[in-house]
Amino acid sequence: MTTATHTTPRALTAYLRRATWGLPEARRQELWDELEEHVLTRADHLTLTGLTPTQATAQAIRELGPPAHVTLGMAKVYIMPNFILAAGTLALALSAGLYALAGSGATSTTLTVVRQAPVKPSCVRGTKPSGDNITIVSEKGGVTCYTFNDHEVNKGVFLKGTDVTRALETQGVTLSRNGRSLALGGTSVNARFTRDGVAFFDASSVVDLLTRTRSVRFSGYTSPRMQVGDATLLLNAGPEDIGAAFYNSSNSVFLSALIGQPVWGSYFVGTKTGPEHLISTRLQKGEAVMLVTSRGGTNFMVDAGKVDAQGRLSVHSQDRQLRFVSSIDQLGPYLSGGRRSALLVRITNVPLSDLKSGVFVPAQATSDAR
Amino acid sequence: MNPDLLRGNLDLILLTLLEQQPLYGFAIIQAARDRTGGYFDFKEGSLYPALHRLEAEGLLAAQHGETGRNGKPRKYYAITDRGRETLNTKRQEFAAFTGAVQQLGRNGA
Repeated sequence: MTTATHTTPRALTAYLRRATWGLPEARRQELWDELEEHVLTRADHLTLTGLTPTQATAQAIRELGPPAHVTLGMAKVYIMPNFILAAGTLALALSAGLYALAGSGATSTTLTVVRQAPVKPSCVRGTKPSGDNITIVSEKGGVTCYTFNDHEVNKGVFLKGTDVTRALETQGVTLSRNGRSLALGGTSVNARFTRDGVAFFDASSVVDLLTRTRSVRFSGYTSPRMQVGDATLLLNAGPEDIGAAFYNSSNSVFLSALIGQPVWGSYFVGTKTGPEHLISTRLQKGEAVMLVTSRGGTNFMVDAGKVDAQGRLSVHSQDRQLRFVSSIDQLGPYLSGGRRSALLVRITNVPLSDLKSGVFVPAQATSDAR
Repeated sequence: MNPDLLRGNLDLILLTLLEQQPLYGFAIIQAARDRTGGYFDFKEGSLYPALHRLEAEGLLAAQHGETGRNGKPRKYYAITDRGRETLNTKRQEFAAFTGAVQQLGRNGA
């Protein structure tokens, strides 16, 4: 196979070889040139969003989809109809096998999630703290140590630092020598706690670190996935649904992406105790959607919920009556006709860099809590 | 949008996009997104086999354009006369189908 005089990235050459496998030579060259041109043009566009050329090429290749799909599609066009099934299936299997053997450059890693941080006592010298919400665990030499009774404060979505660096090494994420901080592009985040000498990080701080410099896309609710460049991270907490905990903990990241500048004053309905709204949508099961209402300025009330098999979204709000709007500019702290303006944003399967494209108004533009 | 709808009407969509002017693969995807406010979002990997198939069926004709990013001429797809005839037929079929579905809804209401 001939190539142009420019330098073709190795990952692209591997992809093109698989995608064009089994075609008649003339057609193969033609398709090769088309796909190559497509990826290089798309990669040029992606570099404008801040990706490095390598990352941009990987992203453009990923957008093309598995090369085996192209192979099979082309086999149906150019191989005799009687041979379509056999040749197409063979080409599919061989292409997939060869691609897997050669390594596509894309990686997928499952990260085990820890949901509970260890309960560690806080200690004060002098004044002895009191209250129903704490338990004194030690008193010695004027120093009183206590723990909070509400174990919810220790719940979260925590990731092992070594797992994160293993999954994202190719994206430039590094772990400090003492293992207590993760760094990327001059920014670092610190571990929330250590257990048996292993550092654990809040998933939200990892998300924050990544989204500052990398193109990130989320998918899945019960077990969320993060796609960072050509690396995919699957957060696995077993059968437990961690969608609400994960997506709500990163609400400031989503709000900042939506508004186009950092938002620090946000908070969320994390306990899911506010009135529940069931909203009919046209979305697929398992999509995550963020409900946003404004409390004035940069204070927002946010809750992330999931879409069920019937397309119904379940989210919580402090307001019983909502009216959905199509832009964040239309949100405000005042009620209109007894209803609070609210924004719905699909946050999965939408690039974080283009989160506005996830905004939608359901067919029923108002909602009354159950 | 429902990907089945996109797949089922891929020929109609591609022929419509190329009705006004020849375009190359990447530009077709962009035109589809731009002209529908992002509603049509092609999976690139399925676009090229579809274009080649329409070309093989004589509904599209390939022509070389300016030099692309890889140093080779871009392959533009232009609709043929036969492609226009097919487009007209498919439009009528689509209109009849959606009309019938709407009629079902009205009769059922």
